[in-house]
Amino acid sequence: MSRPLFEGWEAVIGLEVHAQLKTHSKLFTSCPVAGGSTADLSPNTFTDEVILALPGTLPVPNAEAIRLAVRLGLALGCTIDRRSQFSRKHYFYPDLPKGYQISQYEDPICAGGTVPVAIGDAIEHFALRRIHLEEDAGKTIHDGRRGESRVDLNRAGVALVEIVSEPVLHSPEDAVAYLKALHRLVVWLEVSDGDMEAGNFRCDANVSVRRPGGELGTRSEIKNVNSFRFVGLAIQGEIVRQIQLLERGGVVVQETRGWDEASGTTRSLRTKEDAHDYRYFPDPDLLVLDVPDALFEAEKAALPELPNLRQARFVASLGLSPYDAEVLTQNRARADYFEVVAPHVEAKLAANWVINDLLGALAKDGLDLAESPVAPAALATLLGHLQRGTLSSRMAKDALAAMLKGADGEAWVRDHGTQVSDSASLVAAIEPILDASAGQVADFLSGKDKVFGFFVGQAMRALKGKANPEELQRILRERLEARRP
Amino acid sequence: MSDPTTLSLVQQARAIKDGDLSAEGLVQSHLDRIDAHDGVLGAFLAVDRDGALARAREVDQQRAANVPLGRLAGVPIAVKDQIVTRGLVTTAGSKILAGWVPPYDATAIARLREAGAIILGKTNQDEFGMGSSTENSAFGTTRNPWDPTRVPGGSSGGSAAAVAGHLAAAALGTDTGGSIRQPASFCGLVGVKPTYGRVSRYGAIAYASSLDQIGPLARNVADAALVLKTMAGQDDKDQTSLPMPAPDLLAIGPHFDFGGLRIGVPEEYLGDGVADDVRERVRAALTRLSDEGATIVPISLPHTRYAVATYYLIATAEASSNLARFDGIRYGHRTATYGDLDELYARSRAEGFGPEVKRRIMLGTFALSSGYYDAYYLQAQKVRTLIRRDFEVAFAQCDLIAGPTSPVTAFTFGERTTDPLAMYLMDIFTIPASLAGLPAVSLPVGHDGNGLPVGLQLLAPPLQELRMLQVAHGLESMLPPAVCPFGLSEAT
Amino acid sequence: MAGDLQKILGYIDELRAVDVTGVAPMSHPLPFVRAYRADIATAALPQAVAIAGAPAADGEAFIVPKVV
Repeated sequence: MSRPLFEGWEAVIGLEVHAQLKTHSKLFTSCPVAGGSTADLSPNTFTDEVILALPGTLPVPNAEAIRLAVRLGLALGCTIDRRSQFSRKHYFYPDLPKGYQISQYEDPICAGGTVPVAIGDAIEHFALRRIHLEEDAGKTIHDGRRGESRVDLNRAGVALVEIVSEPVLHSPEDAVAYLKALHRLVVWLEVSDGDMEAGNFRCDANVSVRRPGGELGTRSEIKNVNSFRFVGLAIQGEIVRQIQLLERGGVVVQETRGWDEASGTTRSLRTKEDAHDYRYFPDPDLLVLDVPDALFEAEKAALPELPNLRQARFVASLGLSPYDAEVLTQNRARADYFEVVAPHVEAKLAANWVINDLLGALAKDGLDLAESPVAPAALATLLGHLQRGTLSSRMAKDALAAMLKGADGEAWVRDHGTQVSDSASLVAAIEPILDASAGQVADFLSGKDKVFGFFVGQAMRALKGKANPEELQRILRERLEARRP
Repeated sequence: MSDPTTLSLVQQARAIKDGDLSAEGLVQSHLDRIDAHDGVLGAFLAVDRDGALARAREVDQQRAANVPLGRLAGVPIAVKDQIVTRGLVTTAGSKILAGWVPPYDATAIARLREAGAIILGKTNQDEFGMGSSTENSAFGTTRNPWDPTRVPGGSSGGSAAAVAGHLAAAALGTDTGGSIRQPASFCGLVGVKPTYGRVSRYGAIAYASSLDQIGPLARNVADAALVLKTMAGQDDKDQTSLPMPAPDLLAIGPHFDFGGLRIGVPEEYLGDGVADDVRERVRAALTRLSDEGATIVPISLPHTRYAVATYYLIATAEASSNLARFDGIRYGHRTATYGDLDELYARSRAEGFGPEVKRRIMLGTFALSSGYYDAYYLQAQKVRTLIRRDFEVAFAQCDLIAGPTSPVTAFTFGERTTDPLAMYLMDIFTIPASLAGLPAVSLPVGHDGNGLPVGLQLLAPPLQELRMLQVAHGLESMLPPAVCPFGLSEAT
Repeated sequence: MAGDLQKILGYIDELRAVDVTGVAPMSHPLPFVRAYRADIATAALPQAVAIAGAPAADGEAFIVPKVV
């Protein structure tokens, strides 16, 4: 277990993630969900009477949201509560139209479970406390006009899952690794699109410090951090701040702090001296949240191999390096792509080409493997040529470049010829060159090794670049030796 | 036909269908009566003259073109202002919604409109359904057509006054603890609270979510059954609506065989708290039933004495939550003077809500608050289970339960407004059915010494509206009709 | 108001004497299960309709005093 101490202190971190579920309509009404970031949209264009909390309106749960929550819970090894309950959480705020949020309190849909995270060479399993469904709030936008804010309800009512860990993390690095692993998983399962810039995957951290073996310290909550890097920095900064405060004899106050990018620190947003009484009670407009057998069994049966297990399998069974395995399991499209290619050729060759050549080229156009013009079967065929020696590495790269522009791989190979590897053809090309370069031959045989490159270049030109480089060099040396007097 | 407003709803619907009446003429007759008499009664908060007449003409055109007419084509209905109507101002009797024009119809309203009913207008009520006399309205008083010095009951007092005064063929009300049944009782009408979930709550401005139901007020059982049948049935917009179609309430025949019917009478329901006249009328009605072959079975509902307290914890808790949305931001009243957001909330709500609403919000907030939730709200929900169990035990011994709807008949204005608790205690007989989700009907069974109507309430097991209304219909047919003389000339 | 509330609470307090050992709270009058809503989006309200009832709006959004 990685539990780095900060000079006599231990940090205790709990993480809460709000992930927007990938649904077409909102959690409790058929009002559409805006795709992408709501920041660019005209305000209040994704509302209906239920979202506006007009008098007389009622919530009706979205079946897909329930399905996705169950899927996530199963993937994380949670206990699925087949009869959970929605509760009302009351507070007054302009972006909360009903004056309460429909969430889950005493009886969430998932409990327990763990998030598997690769830390170093090992897989650590960080304990979860619960996962529950809830609706998102809208946004209050602070206007340039003094003294006023604008309320936009486009995001209000969108389906979220809140994923709450136990306070079992102890370093900013572990926290970031946990968040990245969780992020990969929700996207992998198509539970969420995980778009952090759009605010669809939001991380809050509860941070406290204590002397090892001592009582838990007062925690502060860090909110409003929208990137993994900033989460790490914010947690680090907060740990340091608390330690310094305590070492000075000060007291940590329970409060909410926000990440301030400009100063690179956390700033206090509000203190929690008066703990808000949310007056939770079971929502009487909603029946028990029953998870039907059909849904439960279907999701259980359809669970894909989880990314961390697939990553481990790539290392154990296919012999990939941990780094390559991580890159190839960054998302499901990559892993699936790779596994179409992998059976046909040597795994490391496949990994190398997928990661460096293909992904590299796609990245220049801002694409990932899901949008590759080169199908995995076509890449497999190309790499088969390379592996058998009918194409040189150079030729294969040229072929791939053409395929990325839409060319058919096999047609390209036909048109551009295959690699020359047989001795007869190579000798037939080499001998005339040696005949015509008596001086260079003499130089080489007298010890000027650099001249060798001249012959290689000449031979390659003669063979239009298609000579098998290894074979060419071998035969060239043979023929040169043969001319030693 | 001299005055079509004195016809029953069923008769009006048939007359339209048969061509004996034009819808426009029928609606105009009602509008004329409203003009003549609602100044005194104060039943309506708003009348949609143009809309009603336009819709009526459409019905007449359809009939002329032999287009099949809906079940309620041309029938003028009044709607309690707690129920949302597209394009018609809806206030729930509160200043906080003064002038609010909804962009949608309640499901019940949509179904009535689809059946061809004509929405005449919106009726007065106790604010947000909180009251038993319609004295808690922000918009003035409604008078009981039987005696205009007296209240029509509440909270659906305007609907009751409109129907009793022949200003509408029938009306919609909402019932949370008795708000349809008690005004029906005070105004000599039939008022039905269906099984919880029978009628969609979508568009009924929420008072207490686990108790509210929309239901009809009408001048006889068949009229009420027809309206209920038209509105009832599963609604995908209301998760608490029953996943089943409405029973065939049109199958209420003229003759009901009372032989073998067991009527349970709770010992707790005919004690000292009930006015003598009321007790006597109810006993006389029960005697009629037993004369016809029914068996009167004494039963006990031992947790009756806790019903009012249970109700006032659960209903106020849910109300405090449901009314949190009234904040002056997206709709409704917003205070003119505020410094910051907190003041905006506090002042808008203080100005917009009346004292009874404030009282209940405070009670409800307290019942849900941390440290008190277990002792109050949770405790009440558990006692609620016990109250329902009382009924389950009782219904093993009888088919229906009978008793007075209210311990008293219509009282005078101001008589009971000084003591809220005393007002609450009057709901003792209607509250239990609400807590248990049972269907219940109030029907008139005579008058007291002052000529004021007395109501008898029948309760049935869940989902048994049909038998309940059959029995009510049978009893009704044995009693003289209760026609309110208000505004009627001798010529009718 | 305070006096009324006091009196009402005093009356309600009688409820606490009821023995509810082993009794479950009544979550819903009738225990039934409803199917959930299929995830099909319908049309949103036009912006103008959404803000139509607002006491203070700027043509697009609801206006409130500045939130800290």
